[in-house]
Amino acid sequence: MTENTPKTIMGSPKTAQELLDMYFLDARSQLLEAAAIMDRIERAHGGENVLNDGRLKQLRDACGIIKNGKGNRVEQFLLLMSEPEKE
Amino acid sequence: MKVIEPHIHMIARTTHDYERMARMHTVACCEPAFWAGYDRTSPQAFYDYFTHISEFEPKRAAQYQIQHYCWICINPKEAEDVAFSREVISFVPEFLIKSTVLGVGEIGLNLNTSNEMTIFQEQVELALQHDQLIWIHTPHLKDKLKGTKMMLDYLKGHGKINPDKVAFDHCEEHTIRMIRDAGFWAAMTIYPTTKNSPGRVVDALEIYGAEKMLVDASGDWGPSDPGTLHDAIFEMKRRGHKEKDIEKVFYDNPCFFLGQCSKFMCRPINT
Repeated sequence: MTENTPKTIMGSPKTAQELLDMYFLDARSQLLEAAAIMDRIERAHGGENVLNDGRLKQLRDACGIIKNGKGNRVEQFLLLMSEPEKE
Repeated sequence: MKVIEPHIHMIARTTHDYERMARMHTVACCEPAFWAGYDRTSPQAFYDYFTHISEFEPKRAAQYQIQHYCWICINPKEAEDVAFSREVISFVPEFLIKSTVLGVGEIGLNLNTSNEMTIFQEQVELALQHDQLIWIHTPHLKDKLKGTKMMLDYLKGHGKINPDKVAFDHCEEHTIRMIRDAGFWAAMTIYPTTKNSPGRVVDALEIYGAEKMLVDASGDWGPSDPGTLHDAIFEMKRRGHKEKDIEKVFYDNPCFFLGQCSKFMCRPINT
């Protein structure tokens, strides 16, 4: 961050354990939905033909960020989904 | 706790939404001029639209004790035709003097074309000429990062822009830091599938702090809901944040930004 960035970071009043208890089922549900969508596409007529579609590749790469990222997974996810700045 | 909705397209919402917002303690809302879901066929259609959001919606909102304000401009989705856009821009000043108009917006980029950028720049100049606040629409999805940087670079290099008087809307995690580092306001929009969720908005507030941050539901004719703003309030409460911090984000901050226009009547509780 630069010197202009406000320093009043709020932080989370909850502990990591409390947040895990609050959000585990939400995360499980949302990852499960993504898995179901990818299965749905794959088993549909023409599924083999779209396996190399760039959007599916982006989703597979995003799964890698979720699995291996640390700290700023959301920002990495959004950068992956962004158009290159210079063409 | 009182709430201000900084961005909503009430022209596309039912009166029942005003009633719901009032019951959720919304005391003021702001309607930037935008696309109608189809391209308008004449500049006159924009004239009628600006009249609607600056005169009729304030009356409809007042029935529910909500103050309704608006922003006037040609929006980026209809700014590709430069000559057409300039015709619309020619009568924008006529609306800027109305008692419910807060500034020029939502200007910005859609597909990041050079024509869109030309009209963006001309409307920035219009705002400066008339000493107006500016509300900026950043592009959607894959175009957001590039378009945000294009506008940010232009404004940073302009030399006459006061960043306190400019808000970038529809910010996400990959654009918030650069906007705030440059001294501008950053607004986050909550949508059911695109933009932000209530949880991510509260994450961003925890990471970046509440200074110069705004939150809106940007309800319009697409999948959206004025209630998502209040879902974010509930999410902050659920995570144990103090009422004063929640009030800062959802009431005081809009008062600080919008209150730079003397027509905006709400005043911050915590200064």
